[in-house]
Amino acid sequence: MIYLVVAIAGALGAVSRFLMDTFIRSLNDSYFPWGTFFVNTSGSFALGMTTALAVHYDFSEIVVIAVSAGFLGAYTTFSGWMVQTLELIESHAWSYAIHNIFSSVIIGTLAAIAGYAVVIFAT
Amino acid sequence: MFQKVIMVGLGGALGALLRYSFLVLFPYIPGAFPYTVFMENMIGSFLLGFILIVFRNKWKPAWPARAFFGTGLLSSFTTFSNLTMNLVTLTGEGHIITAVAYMMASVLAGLACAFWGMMLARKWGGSL
Repeated sequence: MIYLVVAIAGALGAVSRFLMDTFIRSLNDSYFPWGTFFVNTSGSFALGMTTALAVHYDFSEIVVIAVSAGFLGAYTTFSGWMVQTLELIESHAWSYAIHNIFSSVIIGTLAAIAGYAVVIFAT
Repeated sequence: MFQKVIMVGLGGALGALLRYSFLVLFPYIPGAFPYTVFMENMIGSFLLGFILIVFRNKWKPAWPARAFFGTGLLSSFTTFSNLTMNLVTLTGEGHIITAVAYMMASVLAGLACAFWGMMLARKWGGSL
């Protein structure tokens, strides 16, 4: 049962990432992978919120796993981030590559903290 | 577009299922270095680098396969939010060295794995 739920949530997460990435790409014509950047930071924010909510409310384990491991795990991507950074390096866009690594780590982590903090302060 | 969404969804379901199954087999020990997610991210980066070059240079018409394996399976198999959230919890629990090591190892080894995947695909492709 849990495996089926994770698979369905993973499918929704992957499709959401694809649609969000396509949408963000359509907004700008930059070489910088803003789509993946937005997906990863917003997903980190949402996982921060989910983690805090799971601490404060008595959700069943299956719901927490579906949202965190299933949906948000699939919505965000590590491999896409790495490959896109390498593509920036290969096209000699060094400042974009460095920007992509550092901004994603720093803003992604801050987003996770912010998501967690929002729930803590609101409850 | 609709067909592509279906392929991404199917690949994403399989990727999330595999990622979760490995986490059940090798559970995360709170406070420790998250080896399971780390390994998943490395393997996923290697394979995504590999298939991206293969699909770009060798099997150009295979876009449904690219949507399934690339945007779907391998992107969902790896996770970024789990990494950042784990950095926060490790730091919050006082395991700051583990958090910093996890972050640096993920970025450096992740780039290396994706690079090796792309290199291998180019070598394997011969004239590519």
